[in-house]
Amino acid sequence: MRRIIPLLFLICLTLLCFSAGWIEQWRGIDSNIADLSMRFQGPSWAHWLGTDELGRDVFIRLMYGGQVSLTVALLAAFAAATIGTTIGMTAGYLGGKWDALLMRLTDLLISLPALPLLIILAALDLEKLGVPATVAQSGNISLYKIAILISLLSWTTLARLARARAMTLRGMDFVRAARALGVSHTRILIRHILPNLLNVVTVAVTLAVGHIILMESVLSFLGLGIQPPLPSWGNMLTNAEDVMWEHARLMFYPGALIFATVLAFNFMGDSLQDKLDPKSKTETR
Amino acid sequence: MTLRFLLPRLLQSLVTLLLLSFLVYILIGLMPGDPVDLMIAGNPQMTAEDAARLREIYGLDQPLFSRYSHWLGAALHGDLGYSRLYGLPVLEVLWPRLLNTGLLMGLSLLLTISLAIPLGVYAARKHGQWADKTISFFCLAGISLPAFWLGLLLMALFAVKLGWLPAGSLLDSGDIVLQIKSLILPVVTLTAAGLAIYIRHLRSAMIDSLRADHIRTARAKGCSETRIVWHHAFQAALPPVVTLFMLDLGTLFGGALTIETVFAWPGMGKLLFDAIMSNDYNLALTGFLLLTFFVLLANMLADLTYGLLDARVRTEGRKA
Repeated sequence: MRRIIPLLFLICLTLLCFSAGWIEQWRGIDSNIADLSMRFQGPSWAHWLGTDELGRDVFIRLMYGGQVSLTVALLAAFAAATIGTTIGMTAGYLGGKWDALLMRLTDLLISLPALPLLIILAALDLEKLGVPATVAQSGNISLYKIAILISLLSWTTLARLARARAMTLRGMDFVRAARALGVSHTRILIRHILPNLLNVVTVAVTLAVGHIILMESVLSFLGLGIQPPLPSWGNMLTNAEDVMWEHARLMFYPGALIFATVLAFNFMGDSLQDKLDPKSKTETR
Repeated sequence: MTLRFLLPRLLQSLVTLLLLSFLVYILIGLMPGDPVDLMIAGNPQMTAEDAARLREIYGLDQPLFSRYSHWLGAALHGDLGYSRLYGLPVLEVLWPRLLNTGLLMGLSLLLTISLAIPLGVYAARKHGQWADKTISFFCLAGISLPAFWLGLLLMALFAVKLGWLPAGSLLDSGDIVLQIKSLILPVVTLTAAGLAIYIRHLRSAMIDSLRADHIRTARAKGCSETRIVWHHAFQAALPPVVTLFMLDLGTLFGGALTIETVFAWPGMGKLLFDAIMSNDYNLALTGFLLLTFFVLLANMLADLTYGLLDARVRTEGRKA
């Protein structure tokens, strides 16, 4: 039950978000066009959750925002999982100097103040970094930029977990047997270590997705994440904050969606963890 | 032993800071526009020659590395430069902001701890029962909650709708009642955001330690339940929580960036954010390095206290 309900919720939410374009067509609304005569309408049959400060349909914008937030989260989580697992399992399996070097790097990253660093990175001018102007100014660039930045800062937990597991696996008979048969390190890592890590990594990634959604929403809220006109739950909150004195209602929806989504991911992660490792309920470290 | 442990760590931290200062120096240089661009925007009468002359004065025409080494040389002599945003030496700008953040975060950390200890211990004692499940559910909700949204909701309710509390900081109002009132919403938001993590850690550590052999022995001896829980089990469960607390002390000064921005609280987080957004190089750089320094220091202290509190680590350390 603890897994099914959040999973169902997430599936429904994803389907709903990604059918936003279709709903828009069916209802005959264009959520990108501002209509100042229709500002701040209450919920009605025409606009299920009313309209925002530019007269755009709130419900449909929330769904488009969900597309963006979910895409960023999944992209970043996948990238972080790849980086973290690769670094962690290599360090744990090889040990020695490589382990020391890679883990020093991980520790260094952990010891940085994450949010200020993320803000500095997000504020970078892509053109000064040598990205062609046409790419740097295209509409969706902020989506990929944020996904990359967040993944660069959130692989550390995964690396530590993968390392610990790889260190245990390294000493096991089947790995030593493979080694004795002359199997190369790369092959052992991919064929023997990696499949045995996937459980741990899956749980950690599920929990990481929630964290990443929160990070994206904070960045977008501060105006450094997803850039309008592309909506995301975070930047919809920025707009809503400006008009909160008169229309607090607008502030409620995006935050509630962030909260519910993150909660669903955390619930899934927690119960997966209990299922994989019944002891983890009681384990501290 | 402690000195032998501390010295290499301290050295390592210093090297880290040095490397970081260079890295951040480069990064800040990669942000859009430079200070002179801002001056041009602020003063339409400025000519291209003026701009070029200003760039020369500020050294902006120099290559990156020589600019950095110039900055570093001055910084090592205690000259961290002027904040362009405030027109004051950087340290003079930072100091009052540090105090403001310290006040905000200190209070909320205090409140967090004093709520987390009874709740975490209670949940552990009722392990598996409905009280525990309720607390655990709220904890999961707590770590899933976007803190800035909670802040906005509280503001909408208590400041906008009810009008009981101010929406932003009134620290410079000079009226002590108003000052305290303006503290309430940010402190409550920060506490609600941090509480869940502490309860979760304490709960699982307590569950572990309540199962340990020495607790059974204490029970067999006829120890009172209060003494077992608070004297024997709680002490054994303390190290991870103290570590968490120490690490929190490190992020204390930067951790509240979003909440400070939401409530317009004149603290370090908001200052750093404003400095980054308005290209105040000196301020952003110093602020960032200062925050990193706190985090590194806290990491070191956390390791140190962990070693002092946990007998197992102590002996292992000696073996190694």
